[in-house]
Amino acid sequence: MSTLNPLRYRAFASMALRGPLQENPFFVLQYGFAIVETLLLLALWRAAYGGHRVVGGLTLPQVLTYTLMAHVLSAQLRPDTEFAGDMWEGRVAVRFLRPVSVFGQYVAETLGRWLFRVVLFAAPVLALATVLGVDPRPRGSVPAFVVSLGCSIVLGFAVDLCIAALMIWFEHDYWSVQMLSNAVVAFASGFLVPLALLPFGVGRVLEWLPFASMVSAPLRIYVGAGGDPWPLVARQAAWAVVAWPVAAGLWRMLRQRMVLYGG
Amino acid sequence: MAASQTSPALPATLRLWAARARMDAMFVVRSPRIAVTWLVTDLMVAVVGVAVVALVAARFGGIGTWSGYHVLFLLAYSALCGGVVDVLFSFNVSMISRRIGRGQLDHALLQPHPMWRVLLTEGFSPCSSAAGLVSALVLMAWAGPGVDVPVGWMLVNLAASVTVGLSYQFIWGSIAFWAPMGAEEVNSRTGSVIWLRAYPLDAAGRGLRVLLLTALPTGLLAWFPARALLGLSSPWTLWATPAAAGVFAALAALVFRKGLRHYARTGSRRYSDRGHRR
Repeated sequence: MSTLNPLRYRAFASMALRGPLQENPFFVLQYGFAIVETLLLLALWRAAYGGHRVVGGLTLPQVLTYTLMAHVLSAQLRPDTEFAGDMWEGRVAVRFLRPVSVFGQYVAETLGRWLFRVVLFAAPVLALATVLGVDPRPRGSVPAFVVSLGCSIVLGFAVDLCIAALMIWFEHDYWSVQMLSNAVVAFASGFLVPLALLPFGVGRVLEWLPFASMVSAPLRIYVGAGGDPWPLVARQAAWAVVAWPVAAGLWRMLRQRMVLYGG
Repeated sequence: MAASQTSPALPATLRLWAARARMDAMFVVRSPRIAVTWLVTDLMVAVVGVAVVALVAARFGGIGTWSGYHVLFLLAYSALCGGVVDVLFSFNVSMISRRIGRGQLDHALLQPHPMWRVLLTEGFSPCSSAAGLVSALVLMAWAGPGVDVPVGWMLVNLAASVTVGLSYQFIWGSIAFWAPMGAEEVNSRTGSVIWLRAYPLDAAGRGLRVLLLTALPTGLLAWFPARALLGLSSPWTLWATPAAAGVFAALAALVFRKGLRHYARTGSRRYSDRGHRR
């Protein structure tokens, strides 16, 4: 079978899905805390909006839906493989011994882990949405949202590979690269604050970066903000087409410099 | 060794702090590229940590009953709380579950100093971890002219907030004494809530507020003491965070000692030198 055949990777997804069940129960904590973070952000928007009806073209119900769905779809909008962590710990060496693509293994495992988040976080939060006073239903074009989400996932994995490659360039300073990338992506993508609500025109600049195409674009389409969704989708597709060759090139260039300690 | 254990506490602690500061300075001088990377990263992470609330306040002209300067003070207090923890308790002291789970607590037990002194001093890194504290001081200098806050009470509440945050991490982190492998990274999970300390909780539901002032004391790390200091709540609330700090510290000491007694019987077979910023 070719290394591009997705069927070769289903075992990795299956292992990743079962992994946490065999480890320890504390991994559930992260989902509990994610729910707390979601509730806090919803409260922040309610307080901020106060008597305002529309700010930056967004109403309070739209912003609440945007925030809720940003957290529900967080794993898909900002894919986080374990590539960088495995490089730091040296475990990535084993990956090279397998007759399949190294990054393909990580993508498959990430897809497997998504099911956990759906069951332990996304589904409960969506079920609680109306209790929380948030309407989770899409207000924009559903077909455009589905295509947009697909582009976002493709672009997100490319960005993740770039970050892993940069870790090599920074001589394996894993924590710095990881913390910095998490912070920058969370802010610049519109995950924490919709870009339309950023003051001083900051949002209009950030909209042109690839991070906005990862998170802000699909969520804007979902809540029906920003007019015609297809130019947004086209921008996402363009970034996805550009990002993958860049990511692959960075990886090819930098992997020869990889030095592993441990494993 | 016996002399160190019986030497006066304060001079011995100060000597250890001085030694740590010298080592930290030597690291910065010897590895400037890594040190600069850390400082820039910490600074950017600290900025992003407060940017959300700051930008929302700038866009909306405040948040609820919090004016612009009130929000700025809240963010500065929040950043100060984090900055003090970074400078005084880095090297995984504030992520104690990693040290326990990796068997690195033996480093502390081997030293000729009581455990409290080792944990109080070993994380002191005033050079390489100062970015957050410096940015917090800049924020506070910016907010200062716009608010009228009693400085003495602010320092007391700040110390209390730091104590609450650290105690919370120690309470959860002590689980690693009984489950070293499973709970090694529990502080990474519990620490994620601490990131939310800059958020004003006024519009949060009553249940959520109670949760965030008790079991997950994020509200005690910035929001509640900031309200008290700004006069947005009753005067008695100036005492509330220090009182809570006493309760949390006592609970943390109890749980940690219990875990340490268990550790004395079982030890650890998971020693790893990973975690000291290698």
